[in-house]
Amino acid sequence: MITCYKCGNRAVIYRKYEGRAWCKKHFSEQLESKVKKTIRDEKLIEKNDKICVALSGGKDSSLTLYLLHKFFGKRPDIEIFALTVDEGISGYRKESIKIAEKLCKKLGVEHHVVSFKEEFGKTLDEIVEKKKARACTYCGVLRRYLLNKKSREFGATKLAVGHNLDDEIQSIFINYLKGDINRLIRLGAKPAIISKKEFVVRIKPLRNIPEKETTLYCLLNGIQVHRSVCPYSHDSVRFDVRNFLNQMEEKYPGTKYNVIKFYDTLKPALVKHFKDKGGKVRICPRCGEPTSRDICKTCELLDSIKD
Amino acid sequence: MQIKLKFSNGKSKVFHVKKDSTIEDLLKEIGVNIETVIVKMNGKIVPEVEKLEDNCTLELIEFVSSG
Ligand SMILES: [Zn+2]
Ligand SMILES: [Zn+2]
Repeated sequence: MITCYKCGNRAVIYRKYEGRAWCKKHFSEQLESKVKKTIRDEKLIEKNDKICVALSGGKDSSLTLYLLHKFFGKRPDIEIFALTVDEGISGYRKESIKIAEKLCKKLGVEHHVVSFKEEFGKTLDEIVEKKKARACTYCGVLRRYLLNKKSREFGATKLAVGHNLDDEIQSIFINYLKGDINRLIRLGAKPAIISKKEFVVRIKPLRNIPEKETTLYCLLNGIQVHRSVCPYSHDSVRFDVRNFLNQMEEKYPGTKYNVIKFYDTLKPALVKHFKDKGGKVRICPRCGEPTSRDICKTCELLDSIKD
Repeated sequence: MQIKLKFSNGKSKVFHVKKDSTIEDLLKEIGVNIETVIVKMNGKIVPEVEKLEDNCTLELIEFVSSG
């Protein structure tokens, strides 16, 4: 039997890149301290913050809410609430909203649900009826827009999203592969956005936790999550990059952490070089997203569905 | 040794492995990347480097990226 490096109890995980195994208790403690460290080092949460957690009901957003509530739930100066977007995906979203509601009830956290239908007049199913292949693009763009808008309206100072280490390094690679330095330099635990009142600062507390470990923590600590696959998910660049990085990690343990550490080391230099060269992070005047054109893709898309 | 493998979709299949094989050995053989699953052996979550027990039931918990 494989046993915990610290206490000798039965292990639940063996991390190849560190050559050690851990039991449920010590694994959970470590994950929590890692998340706390990210929050502290990157100053993700400050005094008097009102944090909106973007809660889909999936493992990562559920864990984000669970941990922020665990760390800050008793702090009188910090408020936490959850926001779920109902895109209107039949046979998929209803169930996850139920799970999200249940978690909020259990934790005693205020929960809001907003929908594409109410906001845009159409469900995602209706919007993409004739262009199913583009569903993820539409969905991602519209969800992001709505999360920012609604969290701001509810008075949030931070918008916490569930991005884990795997999500983040996939984004690094995707932007690299697309040659999109504009977006590449805007990744991170707290992407520096233009300080404009209209934009709620996004934070990623789970950014240094591998996907496998966010899943394991939820399983071990009884956090019930929605596990179905979105009916629109399909092979994409992200899908290929995910497979590639998993293959590399399996063959060369530690790869994932190397990628993120390398990125974090390189980023300040990249940002500086980019600015020195006269490059500007061009921002869409309407929404603040990075763009290479006058009006960004999001705003174009919003215009296009109004008809 | 004989191993019963249960998949996320409820189906199961019996495999025969050499003595002292680990969970990881079996996963490699069937082409499952250890980065994409959590494994339960006889109902308990275990590290993939654990040795397989004869006549055990393995359960693969796959996870999906959640947006
Ligand atoms: Zn221990
Ligand atoms: Zn825009």
